[in-house]
Amino acid sequence: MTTKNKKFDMREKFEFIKNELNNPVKKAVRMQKISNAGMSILRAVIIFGLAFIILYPILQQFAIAFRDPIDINNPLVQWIPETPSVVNFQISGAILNYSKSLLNNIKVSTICTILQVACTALAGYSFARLRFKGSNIIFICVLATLIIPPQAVSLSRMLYFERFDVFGIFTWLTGAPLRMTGTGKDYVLYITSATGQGIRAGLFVYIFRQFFRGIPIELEESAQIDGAGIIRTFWSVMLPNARGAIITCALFAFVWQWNDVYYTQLYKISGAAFPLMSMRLVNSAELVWTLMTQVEYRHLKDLVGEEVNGNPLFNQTVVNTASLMMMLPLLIGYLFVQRLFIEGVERSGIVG
Amino acid sequence: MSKKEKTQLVENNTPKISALKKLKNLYRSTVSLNAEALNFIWKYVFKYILIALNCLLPLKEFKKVTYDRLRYDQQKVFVSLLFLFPVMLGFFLFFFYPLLRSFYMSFGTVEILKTGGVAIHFGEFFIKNGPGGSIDWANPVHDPAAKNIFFNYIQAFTAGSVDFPVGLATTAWNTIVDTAVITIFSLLVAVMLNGNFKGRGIVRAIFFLPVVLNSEAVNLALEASANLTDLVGKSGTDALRSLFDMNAFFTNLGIPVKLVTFLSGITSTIYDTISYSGIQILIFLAAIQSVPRHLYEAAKIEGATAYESFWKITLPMVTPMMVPIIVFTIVDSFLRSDINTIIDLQYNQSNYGMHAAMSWSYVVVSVALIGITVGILSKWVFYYDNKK
Repeated sequence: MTTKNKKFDMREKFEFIKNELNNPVKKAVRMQKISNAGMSILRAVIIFGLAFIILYPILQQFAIAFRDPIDINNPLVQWIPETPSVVNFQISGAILNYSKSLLNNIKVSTICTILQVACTALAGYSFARLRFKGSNIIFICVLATLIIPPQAVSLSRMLYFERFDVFGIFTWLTGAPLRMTGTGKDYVLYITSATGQGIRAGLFVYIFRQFFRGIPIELEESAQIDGAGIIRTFWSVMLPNARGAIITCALFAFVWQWNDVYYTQLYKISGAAFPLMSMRLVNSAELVWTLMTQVEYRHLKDLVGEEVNGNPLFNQTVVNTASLMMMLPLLIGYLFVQRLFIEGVERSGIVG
Repeated sequence: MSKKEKTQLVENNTPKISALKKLKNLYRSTVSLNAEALNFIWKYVFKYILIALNCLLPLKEFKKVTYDRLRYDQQKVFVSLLFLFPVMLGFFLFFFYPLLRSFYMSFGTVEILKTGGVAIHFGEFFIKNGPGGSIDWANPVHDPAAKNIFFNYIQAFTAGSVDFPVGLATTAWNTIVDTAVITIFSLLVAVMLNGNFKGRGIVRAIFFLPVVLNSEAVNLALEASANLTDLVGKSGTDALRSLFDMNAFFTNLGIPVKLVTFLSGITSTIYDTISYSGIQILIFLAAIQSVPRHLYEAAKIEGATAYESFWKITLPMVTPMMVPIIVFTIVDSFLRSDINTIIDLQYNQSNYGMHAAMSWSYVVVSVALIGITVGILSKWVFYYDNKK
């Protein structure tokens, strides 16, 4: 009895499972689930792979930076240095003139970022909400600054800055045109940033314009009904809402200014009296040799040892460490800002 | 040392000065210094602040009479012009004028004057008769080969530099390929990052890292150092070189060499692509997030798969952002291309006219490329609720 019953039970269950399997709705659901799981596994693999590709060079740089120069030719040392040392950092610090150039870089990048964001936010708002006849033409002009490569302008701009004289104002005031290029004349960068000619300022204007368009117009109208003027509306209603766009643009402006070689080289801003990190880094490959022969850095030579000194791999190690040192402030800053930045992207609605 | 000696000398000569008197002297000197500083502040800072404040008071009255009497839309135009003033100033002063000047320069020869200025000889070309392949400006000799004002352009495309036309063509082709790859890649990554999964915050932080770390300075420096290494010769053992090189790392792990070369080819391309597509991913991500949720829900209810809803919803909704992204990518990849080194070579040889001519041909090609792509794209762009 019991066995028969059990058999019947089994058969019933089997039938039930068969029906379940053949049920078209459940089939579709199952397929969906399987495909979803497959997709998420695929995504995990791709994301992991890409993350590895991105992180590998950074890890590599750290591994190289802490390696003692004596270990350069040691085949046993692969990733984790046998005798971790900061000799590379000392040498790179001397090459970059770190204490001076760090301050200079922070100063230049911060001021440029603030000026650039302020200028482009104003322009973006006026293109988005304060339109008038002909404001489209100005917008096309701004887009032209983005589309036309800076190479076409930069040389003649540089020659123009060599003897800067708008309508003869400077000749009238001081007797000679102003020379705006040269070592330590970082105000050129501030002037170009404040007038929307900084690094890719056209893009920021575009981002701000799109962003301000995305903010509901009712917000503005209610502020206007409450008696706020146009400037008041912009300052107290629109700007606080534009946090996402501001953070995005500020991050890009800061990073691009920090890494900038092109304009720094063009205006010859970096020099012995006013070192900027990017220029020092670009020339670091040659600087290593000259530096080691100087008297004041003799102690570095002693640290490294004579035989390693002539090794090209040593040069590469030092340049690597120098580039790590240049990136380090950005990396640390990014760790703090990263959350805000990504949130900003999330909420920004850069696209109206 | 010298200071100590001096103080000792002073003490020896005048031993009767007491500590109190010294303090008094110190106090007096500091007071006088402060007075000087105060005087300075008054003279140059405070005074002007006061004057500025005084100026502001009638300004308020002035505003009452003028600005406040305007209609609201007139006020809008006024404020708009005020907001646009810096950008317009910068455009005309630092962009438009130099651009015109460089156009003018491309039809002639540029002479750097000893006083620091620039003289442009429009439509005149000279033979390089001076020392070091430069033009001797003391007694310039006209170039008999230069028959019309397009001499610089002709020179650029024919005899002057063989690399230039070839470089320009390669650059244009590379730009097209780069733009296609970067746009598609960044769209896919943006779609991937948009999904809901564990550790999304960390993954996003990692994916935007190349934006921060992609530095021209670092690339240039590492390149220079690598070149130097090649120049000096490979004296080091493979130990460190293997660390500089991803291939060797994987080969050491025991992965077959063929697979490694294949993979490393892909990865190096991917790394380049990902480091140049930061801002594109960002814009696409924002665009995807602004797509209304209800469209996806409706599609899901109708039985669309994720694949279908990507093609039918996400892609059309993102197309308005495609134009700025593609324009930006084209410009960006033009800036990175090798053609710049060829052009800069002319600058280093102080052929400023030639430099301008080359730059202008480059601008024409780049703008033409942008024009064609935007023209093709604009037919394909889809505007939801026609909000342009």
